[in-house]
Amino acid sequence: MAAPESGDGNNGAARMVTLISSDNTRFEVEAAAASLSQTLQLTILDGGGGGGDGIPLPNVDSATLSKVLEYCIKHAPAAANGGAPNATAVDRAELERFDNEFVNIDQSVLYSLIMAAHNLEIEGLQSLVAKKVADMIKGKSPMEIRRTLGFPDPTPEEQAEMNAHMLEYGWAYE
Amino acid sequence: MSWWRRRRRFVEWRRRRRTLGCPAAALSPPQPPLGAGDGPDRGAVFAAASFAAPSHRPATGVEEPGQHLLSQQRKKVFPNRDKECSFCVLERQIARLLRTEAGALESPGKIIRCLPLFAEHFRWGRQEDAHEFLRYIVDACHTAGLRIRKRLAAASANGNCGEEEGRGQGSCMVMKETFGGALLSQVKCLVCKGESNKTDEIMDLSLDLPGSSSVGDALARFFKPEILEGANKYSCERCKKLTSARKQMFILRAPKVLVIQLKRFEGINGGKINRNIEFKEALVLSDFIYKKNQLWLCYGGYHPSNTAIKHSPNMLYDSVSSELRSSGWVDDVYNFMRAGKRRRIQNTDTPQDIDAMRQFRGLVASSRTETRECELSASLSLSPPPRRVPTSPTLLSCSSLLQIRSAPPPPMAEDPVGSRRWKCDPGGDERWLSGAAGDDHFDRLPDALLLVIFNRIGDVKALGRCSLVSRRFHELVPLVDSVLVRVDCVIPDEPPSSSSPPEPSSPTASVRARGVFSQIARVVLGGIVKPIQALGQILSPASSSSGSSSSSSASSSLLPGDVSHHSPSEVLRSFKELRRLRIELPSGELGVDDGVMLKWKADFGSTLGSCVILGASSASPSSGGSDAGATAPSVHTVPGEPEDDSGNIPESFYTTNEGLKLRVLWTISSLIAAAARHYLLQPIIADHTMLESLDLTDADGQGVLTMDKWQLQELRVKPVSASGASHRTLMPELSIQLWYASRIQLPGGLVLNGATLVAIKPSEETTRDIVGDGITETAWVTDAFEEPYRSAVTILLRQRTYTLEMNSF
Repeated sequence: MAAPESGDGNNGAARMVTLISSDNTRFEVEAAAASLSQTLQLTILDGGGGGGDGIPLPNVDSATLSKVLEYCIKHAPAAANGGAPNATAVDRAELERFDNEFVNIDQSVLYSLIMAAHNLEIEGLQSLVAKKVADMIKGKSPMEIRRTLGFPDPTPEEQAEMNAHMLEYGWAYE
Repeated sequence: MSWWRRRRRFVEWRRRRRTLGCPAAALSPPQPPLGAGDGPDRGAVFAAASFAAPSHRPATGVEEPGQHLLSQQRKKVFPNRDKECSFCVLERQIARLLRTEAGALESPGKIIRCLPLFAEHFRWGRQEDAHEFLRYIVDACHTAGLRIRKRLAAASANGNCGEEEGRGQGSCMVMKETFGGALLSQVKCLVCKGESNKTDEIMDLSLDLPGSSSVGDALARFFKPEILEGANKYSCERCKKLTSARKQMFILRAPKVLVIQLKRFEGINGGKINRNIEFKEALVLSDFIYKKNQLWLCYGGYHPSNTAIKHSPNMLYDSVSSELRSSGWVDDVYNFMRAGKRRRIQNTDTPQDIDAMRQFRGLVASSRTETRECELSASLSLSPPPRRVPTSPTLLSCSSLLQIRSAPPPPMAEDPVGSRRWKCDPGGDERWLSGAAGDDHFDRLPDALLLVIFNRIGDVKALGRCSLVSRRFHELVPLVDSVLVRVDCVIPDEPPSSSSPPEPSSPTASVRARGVFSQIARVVLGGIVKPIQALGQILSPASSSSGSSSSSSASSSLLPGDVSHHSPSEVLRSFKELRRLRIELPSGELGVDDGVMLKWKADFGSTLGSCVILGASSASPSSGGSDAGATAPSVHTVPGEPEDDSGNIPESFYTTNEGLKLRVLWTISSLIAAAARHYLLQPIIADHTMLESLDLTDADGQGVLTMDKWQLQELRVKPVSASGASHRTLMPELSIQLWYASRIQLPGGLVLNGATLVAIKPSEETTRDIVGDGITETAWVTDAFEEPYRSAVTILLRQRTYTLEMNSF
């Protein structure tokens, strides 16, 4: 799958593709970076996205897309090398530092990021954000989790149901 | 055409469908006519639609009537098949309907003429129930199938049964296979967790409408759990008393085509429900499936972790329309079929659909190289239809009385060519729409994504709390497939017995059994718990007094500081989908003196697979730290270049307590600890059949026990044999290899004195595996530990090898 990509990359200038966000902002990125997205990779392999016609991404807004692309550009070289073998420890540490800072963001952004990562099938980004959300959930009580994730207060009905489950999950409390 | 050529054509045609992964997409009859069906034809069309839309087998002659498996046999059973065989009547009707030019009318005369074949008491011109008629048709076809089967069985008994006939036998049950499913009615006692299950075969689902405004809603009500308490308590057989229980229906086996009947009558007075009932084009069944190892969707099955396409039960909605004559109904079914078909291709609006779409696309991509035909049909099904077809609105023109209304289609971007394969509009269901107002973003994440997040949590306690967050979380958490259990304390089950390993004879000896080897039978998760009260305060500050009587009494009986213990298997019981499990003990079982380092790693199937032990009488961080513990002469061994006299074990190794005896003690202790751990895991493994990897570690990093998929499989097939009366797995005859170096300096600055490496395998395996010390043979030894111990192992492996044998114990 990746072979044609690197082939393109070696022929002089790297191939660029245009992505169009839901609010009609155009982003031009290297095909290698965009190919981190499984979904886009297929389109790009197909020859889409080059020249004037971009690839419309009707469910990603420009703010999210720029964030996603920031991640892709940073991670593209490592992915092109096939990950670990060539990467030095320094490179990996640098990526890790970047990742940590990258997810240190507002919750609503986090939400649109994970949705975008899911839709675009960017494995790394999806697990990165998922990890972050998981960390937010850890060590909290159900009510705290509700507040953290911004859920509305439970309806009395739902509350009663949850109370009924309490016995089952008594061990979750210390 | 010869039989062989026909057969080949058939095989090819079927293969083409299979490569597409989506049979109905390839099924492209000429534009279906809007056959304004009259009378019973609606039922026939209904059945036709049911077959044409989802069938995994070739549709009942819709495309190639002559090719249907049953046709040969039908002729034999029903000599006058045109009038006698309900299959044939239906088949021809379907074929006619699909082939008629668009717009032409097709009279259901042929069906009407054979009406008694399906339902004896139905009369031409009289008002009948459509749903009832469908049942009759299905029933008639099933009966015909059975007759054919009986005939086939007789034929095969006579020995004159051809290959084709033998194969045909299975397809006699086509009706049951298509529409048949099973429901599970479960009553679960909330006290003893005992379950009482009852299975019901179904051909359709009848949903009550009162209180529901959509099909999804009615379905959710149907499968909603009901708590039996108060006057309605359940008499539990295990508890032998009345207890509160949860009663719930599940789909045990989803039919390929799910027929839903909406009961439009209200109460006993027979009032009719004439309001609009809404339905989504995709209906998620996964919430109702028992053993939720599959996420069912109407279009395209989807599983979050396993990317195989499951066959998807397609949906057909049936309204109880008593107006057999009202026209428009047939159009609806057709439109539904057409809409459904296009939908698969064009319209992907929930993330699940996108996933199905992706897999579909993946399949197409992988089949690219196969044949030209494949590619042809692939592009046929992938490129958007020439013009934009308003899919859902066609559904709006529904039967006169019951208006089945579907949500308007999401605004689709008019795609330029470049985005031919770009379909991920999450519109449609506003639930998924990102960026919508409100703070509860994360509640709007699709299930698959929430599961990804939950799988990242790992810690079982955090997951337990998560499941009490909301109804949806509660449903999803048990689907998590990767869990880490941190055990808080280990309670010995019985007092230390004499079977524990020999105590070291000298006080300077470094290993002491903590009395856990054979007694570590109960590992518990504990804490100061007042679960109900604590939760009540957290979850319902206002209604704490309204808690059920049982809970308040339970909470009052719990003294503050009371510790309740929960075994991991108890805790893990609700996680039915576990694939990867990690259990962490609070500390290693082997008490070691300061400075002594002991690590082991073992893998088990039914019994020990292999074990690697690395020990050092002292491990000090700096190079100068050769303290009193090391009695062996400090022979420096620099990484990369072992000493000249490498492998020459000093005399002291044999003679002193610190030497060989201690090493053997380490080995035996580690093995017993590993065996005890392994024994403990049995109930957990038995409970979780989907488990693929299991690690049992401790917070000290002392011992690691691993089991992989195959080893778990082995354990299930071949039960563990315990060692005597103790709670540990019996060790087979072992072959032990030992390496020793008096002093090793590791890259990180760590110095190991008296470093010893022990590699153990069952003797019978050893004769095959470890013959020399080649690279391949020692890979499992080298990979046992992480850095820096990995390099210690590498260095030690270069020393001289000592081998010994040990009897089974």
